Amino acid sequence: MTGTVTVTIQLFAIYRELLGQSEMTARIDADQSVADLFGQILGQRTTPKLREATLFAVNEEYVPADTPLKDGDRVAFIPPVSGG
Amino acid sequence: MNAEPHIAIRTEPFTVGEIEELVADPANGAVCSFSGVVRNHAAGRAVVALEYDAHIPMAEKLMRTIALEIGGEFAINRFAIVHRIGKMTVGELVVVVSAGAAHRDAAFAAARAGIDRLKERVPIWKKEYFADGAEWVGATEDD
Repeated sequence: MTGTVTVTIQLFAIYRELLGQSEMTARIDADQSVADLFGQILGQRTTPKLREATLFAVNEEYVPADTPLKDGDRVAFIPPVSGG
Repeated sequence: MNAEPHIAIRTEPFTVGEIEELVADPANGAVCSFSGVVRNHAAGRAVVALEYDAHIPMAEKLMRTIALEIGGEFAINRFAIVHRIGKMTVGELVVVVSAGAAHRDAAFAAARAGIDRLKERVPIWKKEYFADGAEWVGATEDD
């Protein structure tokens, strides 16, 4: 099935600074994964090392890179964590 | 555990004493707290300040999951994890993990496990400010 979905992208730390905003909305093809979305939005702005180390979350849960997105999902790109 | 863990991301300063009050329990014989504070150096460079960012709802959810895991693994009565975000200067308190237990072994082990697991998987990020610039930890070419 083709079509598009609209998702909210939450940006933190290095990604918030790279894009100059903390939240954005994206309309994407329904068969795109969370990693595809990351590639479109930040692929050109990051080093391979940072891309490799980035994890993905959808609706406040870590998910695999190949997770497809649904309309209304809240997506977060999680650069390497450094709390504590 | 005798009560729900106390979990929070806060923007305002707090004290260790305040967090230890949250784990008070008449069944405690031991309270052990780990405190993380802003250090004046990182990898040989002088640090003047740190800034923390967090995915707050996800971070609080994962901190709670970690606290419940730890409650299942160690004989503790109460547990708290509180992490501050925003900009802080050298010596300021960033994070406190407190465990109240009948005996010290469980309190020490739970506090240790709490900070270790937080550092491993909770979406919180640290930016180091040096005299001549600033960078997010783990996000630069040379890390």
